[in-house]
Amino acid sequence: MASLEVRELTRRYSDTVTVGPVSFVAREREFLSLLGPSGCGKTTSLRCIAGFETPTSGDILIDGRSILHEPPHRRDVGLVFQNYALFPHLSVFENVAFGLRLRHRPRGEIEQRVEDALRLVDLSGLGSRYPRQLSGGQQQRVALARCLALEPRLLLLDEPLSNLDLKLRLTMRNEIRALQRRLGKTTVYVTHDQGEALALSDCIAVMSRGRVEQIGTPREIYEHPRTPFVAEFIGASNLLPCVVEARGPEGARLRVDDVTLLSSDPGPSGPVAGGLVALIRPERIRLGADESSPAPTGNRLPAAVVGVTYLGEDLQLAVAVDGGPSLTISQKAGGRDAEPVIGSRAVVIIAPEDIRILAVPAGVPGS
Amino acid sequence: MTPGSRGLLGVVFVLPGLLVLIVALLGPLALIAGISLMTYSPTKIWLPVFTGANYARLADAYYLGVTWTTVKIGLVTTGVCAVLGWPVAYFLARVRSRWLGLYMFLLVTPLMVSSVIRIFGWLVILGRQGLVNATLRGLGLGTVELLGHAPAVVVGLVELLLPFMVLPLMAAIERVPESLEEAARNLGATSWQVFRRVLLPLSVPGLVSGSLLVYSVAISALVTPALMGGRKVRMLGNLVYDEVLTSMNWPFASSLAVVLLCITGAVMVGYLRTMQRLTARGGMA
Repeated sequence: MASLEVRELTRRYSDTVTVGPVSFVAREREFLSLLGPSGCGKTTSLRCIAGFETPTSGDILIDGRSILHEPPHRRDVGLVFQNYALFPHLSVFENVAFGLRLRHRPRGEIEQRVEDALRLVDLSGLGSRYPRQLSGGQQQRVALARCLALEPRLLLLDEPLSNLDLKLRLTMRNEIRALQRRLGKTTVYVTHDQGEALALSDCIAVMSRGRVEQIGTPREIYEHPRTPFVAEFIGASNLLPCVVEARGPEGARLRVDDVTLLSSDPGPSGPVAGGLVALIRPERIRLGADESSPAPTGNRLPAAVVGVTYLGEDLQLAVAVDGGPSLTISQKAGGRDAEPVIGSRAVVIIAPEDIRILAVPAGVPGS
Repeated sequence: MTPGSRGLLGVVFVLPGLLVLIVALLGPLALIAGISLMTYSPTKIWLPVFTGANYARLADAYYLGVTWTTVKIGLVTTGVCAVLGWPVAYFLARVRSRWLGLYMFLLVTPLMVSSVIRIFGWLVILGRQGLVNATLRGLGLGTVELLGHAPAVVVGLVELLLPFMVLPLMAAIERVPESLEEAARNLGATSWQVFRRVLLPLSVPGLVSGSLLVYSVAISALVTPALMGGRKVRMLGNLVYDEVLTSMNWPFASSLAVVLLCITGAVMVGYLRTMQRLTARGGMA
């Protein structure tokens, strides 16, 4: 088991293209995801850890010792590639045995460890096949087994599920998680899929434009995003530009267009260069049938239903608040209540604790 | 389009090329095979009298020696091209440079220069009065015979044939994703082990087609051995040339040509078989 620390890592490609400084820590046995859109620097960070790219500055430490001076083939960190990178001229057995043969292990040990690794990924008996004879999911497992057979200090996964179809992706996701839990191998997982990151990780580092925006548990990231980018990238969100009219210890009074909202979040104190936005998750908004319906305390806004999209499990509603913004609302579909129809009137109910106030960083155009 | 009409279209597409092959290659080859079994006549060149004498004459030690020299030069040239060509092919396959076009142009320049001029260049450098020997004499080291032996012929042929090795190798290496190299390194392979265990086996298809091209052109070489090999190095191509144009012994020249063809064919079949067995074991067939 090992811990990984990436400290102020930067990788400069040109005057305009720079990744970093990036810092994060993966503790022993932890599953850390680097999550962000393409070009955010997550893959660059991973390739620096594996040794395929050399950071311009900063340090990478495993168990407190810098590994930057070690060439890739001595780093002892297992990397699973997005396209699996299986050796097409070698059988499954030989693919998994590749690293063991390089280390000149005795034949009996190689057979034993390959056998164990294949059993771990549920591929026992397929050792004599060639990669091209396997399905995408099976190739993925071989790539995993090839890494695990060497018992590396770290497991690095670079978007390993992105080439699989949806159903297989969900299955493999669970398997990777179960395997990682069982082996307790410290893992860094690169993905642009927020669902994967939420489901798999102990800890998520959300990245954007070469920087880490926020690090936290999936729950922290989802429920307490620190920036509009994080809020927008993880889950669906309503982000409404707003002005704080009054602020107290128990919350703030906001103005969004012509509508006043109460929030239990006082929001960031001090001057904010880029302005403020109110974040409301679509599934936290309730819709009352009409303006007279009884409701708990909170914000009650008359509105018109302007869009209804049936998504199977969920119903996605678009409502226009009178004198205010348009909101997206997510409801369970197929409930006992009559479903809203386009053109009907309704009351939007938002609890003050479900409104969070985020500062827009300077220089980032508001959404 | 129905399968039938597509088949018909295929025939239409292949027919012109096929006709050229039949008229310009298979026809003359059949003629040569026929003449090689006829009797030589000093006045009429050949008489339609069947004989095996032309082939019997080939059993002579001199002709066996020339045949062996030809095969040897072909094999050595192929080997040298493979060893020199692989790094070049790898570089060209992996380089991300706007100069790639220039590199490719430089690679094929030997093919754009007439053989005679190309070899004249070598004479200027390697000849008795050439650059190298003039320098050696200037340093008081005497004169070295750099031309007129088999290695000189190999040098000339390698220069000409290197592109035939590099181009197919380059295509094969380009098909190997760089992530395979990285995966191998990640699993603990040194640069040499990446080459030996991943890149080399996966470039075998390119190595095979490159070798066949180089070998078949090398053993039928004519101008290079004639000009760089001097009187000592004779290859089958030179013998055929002399018999056709100097001795006017067409029947014997034809038998030499048939032997050359058979050797080329036999080596190619043997080589392909071996490679197929090797790659089948490696799982790439």
